[in-house]
Amino acid sequence: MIPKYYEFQNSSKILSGEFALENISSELNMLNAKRVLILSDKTLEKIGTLQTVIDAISTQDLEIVGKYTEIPPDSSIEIINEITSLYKKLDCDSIVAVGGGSVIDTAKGVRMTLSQQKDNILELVGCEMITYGKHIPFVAIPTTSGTGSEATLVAVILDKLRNMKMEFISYFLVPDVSVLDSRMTISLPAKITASTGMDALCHAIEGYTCLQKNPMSDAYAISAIEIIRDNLIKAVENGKDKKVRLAMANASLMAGVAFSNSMVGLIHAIGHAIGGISHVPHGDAMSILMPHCMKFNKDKLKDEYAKLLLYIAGPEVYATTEYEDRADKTIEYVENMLYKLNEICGLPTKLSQTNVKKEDFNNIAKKALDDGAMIVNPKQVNFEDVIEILEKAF
Amino acid sequence: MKVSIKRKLELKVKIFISKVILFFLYRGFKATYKYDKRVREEIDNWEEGFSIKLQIAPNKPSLCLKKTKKGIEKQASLEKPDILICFKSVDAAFLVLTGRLGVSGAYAGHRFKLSGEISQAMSFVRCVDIVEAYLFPKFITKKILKEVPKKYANIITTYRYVLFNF
Ligand SMILES: [Fe+2]
Repeated sequence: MIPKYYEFQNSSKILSGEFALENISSELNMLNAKRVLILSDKTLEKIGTLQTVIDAISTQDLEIVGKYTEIPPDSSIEIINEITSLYKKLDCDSIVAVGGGSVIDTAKGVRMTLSQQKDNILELVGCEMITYGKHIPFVAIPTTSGTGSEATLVAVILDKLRNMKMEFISYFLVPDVSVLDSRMTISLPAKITASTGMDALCHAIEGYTCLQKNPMSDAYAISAIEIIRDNLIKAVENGKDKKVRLAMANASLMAGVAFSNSMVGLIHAIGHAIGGISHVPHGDAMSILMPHCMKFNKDKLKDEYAKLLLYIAGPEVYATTEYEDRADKTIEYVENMLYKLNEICGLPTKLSQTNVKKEDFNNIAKKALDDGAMIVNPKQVNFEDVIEILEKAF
Repeated sequence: MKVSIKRKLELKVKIFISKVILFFLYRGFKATYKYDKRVREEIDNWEEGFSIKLQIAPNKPSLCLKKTKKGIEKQASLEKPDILICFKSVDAAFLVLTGRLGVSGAYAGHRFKLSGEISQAMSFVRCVDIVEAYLFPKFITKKILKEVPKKYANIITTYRYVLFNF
């Protein structure tokens, strides 16, 4: 169905596959960049992933004038301001981010602050408030296959002072170039591969079902689901398989495009709250909550879940399942994937296996209702509903 | 190039009607604050001085609300509201204010810009949903709200308050 109105954007140029990293300098040259600031984290520096990038992008026309590798898993306003002044001090003209969601979101924040010529990023909180600003060439190289941050218009950044996650939403946050190269994810441990892969699946499923779904985002979502179906388990079982790694990187980006445009709902709203209060890794929270939230949404989304069976289970299963049973079967497939991943690498299947405490349920539910993702969930959710989902997932 | 007379007229009418509805929306807020527990609880949770501006398009009329000791009060204008919701066009605002598009639908459709914290805006959105349930008949709210909130307050009392402010 075509919505009465929708908007869609996927403005990032995508480089995917063999020697993708080696093409970055050419891309940056075309964007008139000559002096790069490279952002990453300590782990990636230690295991040599960052060096692989540095080796690949350094050319005569492109100088890496500085690097910042102190970005923690929960990046903050302070770090963004620090990097912003480093960028100015070193007289850089472009940014390359190598990392997971946190590094890429940090880079988005730095780039936005610089291009808006502000001193404090907090002035820019909100949704679609900023104008184009000065163009700062920005390349994102994801090192996990999950967040899809390289393709989304959102950056989530912690305000340490108030212990609150701030959301920045603007089409101008999307990187100029996103680079998918299997060398970046090949050394990702099995459990993180599983957890982030389930996050990508969740993006695709929520992207396919939330209020702003549209024919464009649908196309990205279902392709992502097919790729995840065929590759996630393999990537967890044998991380050294380059083909499988590249496939998952593609799926993650596509799921990112899908949810960046149709947005995420209930699963993410509760997941964000659990992340904030109980510090459960985002992908773990998504994996555990997904089947329960899908069951909750099922009466509103029967048609959509039924259609997804074709992509998550394949044509044979779809054709031999009656319409009435398809939505349930889709949820069953998600559940089975979760159990299978639990078997292979110990991905948690219940909240009780994580840091979540029952006494935090009330706070989690309150926080979840205040999460921006809740507004696009197709079914109305109230406090008691969230508590019930948490109970079932515990 | 000049804007056609037809469009000028259309905009005038839409802005006029939107202004009237904004006024009743304000009265609706006051009434539900008084008579509906859910709205009162939401607003009581806002910090004193917390302000919201709902604008029907850039440089066009707006409704400015501020949390005070008495509950919620209308302001002539707000320099720096905590939350600014500004529709991208008068036409988009008109869809929402005349009950043909819900706030969640408008958000999902990128119909407005939002400045300020999204979590704080969520509380405001929940209130608007409830106020709409009182202001609009059910055949309208059924279409624009995910679920029509129950009306706890007496509908006649609420309407009297909305219309006559007592
Ligand atoms: Fe996610």
